[in-house]
Amino acid sequence: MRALTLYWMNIKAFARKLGYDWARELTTIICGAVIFATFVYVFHDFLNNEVKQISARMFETLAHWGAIAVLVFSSAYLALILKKERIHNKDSISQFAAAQGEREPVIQWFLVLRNSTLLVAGIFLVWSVVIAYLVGEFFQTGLYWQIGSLTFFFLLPTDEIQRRMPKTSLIQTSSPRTALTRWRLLQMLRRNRRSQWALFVSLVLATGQILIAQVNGPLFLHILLGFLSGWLASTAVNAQLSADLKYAWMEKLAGVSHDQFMGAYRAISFFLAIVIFIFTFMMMLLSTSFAFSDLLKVALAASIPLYLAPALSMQIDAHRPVIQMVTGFLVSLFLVTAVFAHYLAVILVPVVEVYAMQQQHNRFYRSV
Amino acid sequence: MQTDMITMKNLKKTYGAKYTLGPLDLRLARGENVALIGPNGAGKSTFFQILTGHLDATEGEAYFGDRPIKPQSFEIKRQIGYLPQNLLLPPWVSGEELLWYAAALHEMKSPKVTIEQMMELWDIVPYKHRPMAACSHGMQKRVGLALAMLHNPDLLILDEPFSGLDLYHVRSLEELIEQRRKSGFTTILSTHNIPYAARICDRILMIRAGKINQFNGWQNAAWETRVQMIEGEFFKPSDNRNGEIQK
Repeated sequence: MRALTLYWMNIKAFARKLGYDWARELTTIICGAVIFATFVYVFHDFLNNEVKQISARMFETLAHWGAIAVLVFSSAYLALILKKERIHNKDSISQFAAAQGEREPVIQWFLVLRNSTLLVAGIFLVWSVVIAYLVGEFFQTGLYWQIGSLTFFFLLPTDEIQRRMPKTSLIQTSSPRTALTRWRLLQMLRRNRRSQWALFVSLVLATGQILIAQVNGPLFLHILLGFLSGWLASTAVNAQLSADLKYAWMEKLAGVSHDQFMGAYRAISFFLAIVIFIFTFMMMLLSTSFAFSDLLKVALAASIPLYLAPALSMQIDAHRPVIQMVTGFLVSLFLVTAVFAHYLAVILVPVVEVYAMQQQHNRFYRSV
Repeated sequence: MQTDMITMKNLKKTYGAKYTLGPLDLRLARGENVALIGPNGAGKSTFFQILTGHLDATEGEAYFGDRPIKPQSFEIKRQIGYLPQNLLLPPWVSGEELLWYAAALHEMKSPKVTIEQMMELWDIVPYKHRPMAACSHGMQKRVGLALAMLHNPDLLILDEPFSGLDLYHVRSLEELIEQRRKSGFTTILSTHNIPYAARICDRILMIRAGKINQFNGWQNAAWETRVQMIEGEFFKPSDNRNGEIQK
């Protein structure tokens, strides 16, 4: 019975959170829908033509692997939500109950109730909306992937931060700009697990260009993969920024301006964008025989999401990396498709960047 | 020379229709130690947020010397040291790292000696390489105090500085605040610990339901009498018993 009380408390907490955040969530959904609808409206004919170039067999293979990718990513997200509610997590209801002297079996029953509700709701949503739309006969393979990836991500240590300490000597500088940039870069590369994972998977995807080249995949696929690898790398920046804002009172009090704070992220994103640009370009150059302008398009597709990440991070809610990821995905998708249509569309990128930076000006000080 | 460190003129902060701090008219002189005392939720932290430039006032102005305090007053912020009530420090960063980082943000030239002094003063040396997640509340508080005082700020704002500190470090803090007064620096602190406030502060500001009243007539009394007088003022009946700002 007390397990049910905890379960009810959990549902009410979720509803209360939704009550506080609904305006923000609604803004994200509406903005996302508008950008996506505009994207479809503008690029519908162009993309249809490109998709027609893909053979039926390759299209089937793509749908198959696309469905698997959806399953793996949804499993990773589900595992993260499931792992939030653990006894050693300070913010969890289980921890609260345990601290009040609640018996272990009651807490375990509560966890069974909560986690099974989440699993059923999450898996139902993914299978009924995405998988059913992407592929037909997929049940057995899909089930293996779902169970396998859920178990993998559940067991994977995904704590936000890990214990490795950065080298103090690297932040011994009298330049706030250098300190701000180095501090963040060190956290991303040495401590923040989410950032590290995002960068690693991004690198794996970028290397995947060779595989597409092996099966003589069309340019469309190279661009798609380049975009996905760049977008994943940009989520590393998103994850670090949202982790950073929890402790930004220190920087604010030291008189760090919005421009200085964002300048550090712009420097990091620019550096990573250059790295992924060169890496993707080299992969393409070594494994394909596309024209120079096409190689440029793929490399740009990989670097645009990263380059734009800081300009889009504070548009809606900088504290929540998922919202930043959605914003980044939609805006970058728009620009990357434009670049795919013609590489000179790259001139739109700085225009969007300048406009977005102006829109979010001084929001570092609003993000209390 | 400007003698007032802080001036507030008809300052008001509102959240929606009900939540109001102020209007406040207030002056804090240089070399003055001031305590802000009031019930939970009376507006102390909001007051400090405006004073540190974290929040913008809805009406009126707050001045640091003759310069208005705004969220973009970066130069002013560098002259303020602040210890927040809910001290949030990155969990896997060590105290020494944080001090080096803060020194860089404050553009301190050759800060090694100052950092070492601060670590000595607050007994951080034994755990200077330990991540914050593995430090007790009191240890983190000492790092917070070292961060607030590292750049020797003109104005030091301490929100509940005594909570979690052992008696040795409470004594160190009292001595340091006293030294700051002698050097002409201003300190303002909020506390529920009346005996400490009565010992080190020149003025008591009583905040209740977003309104600040200066409590006078106690300065020349003996310490025990001061404590009784301040407590008497705190428990004085009012319309709003808890003194909370209505949300």
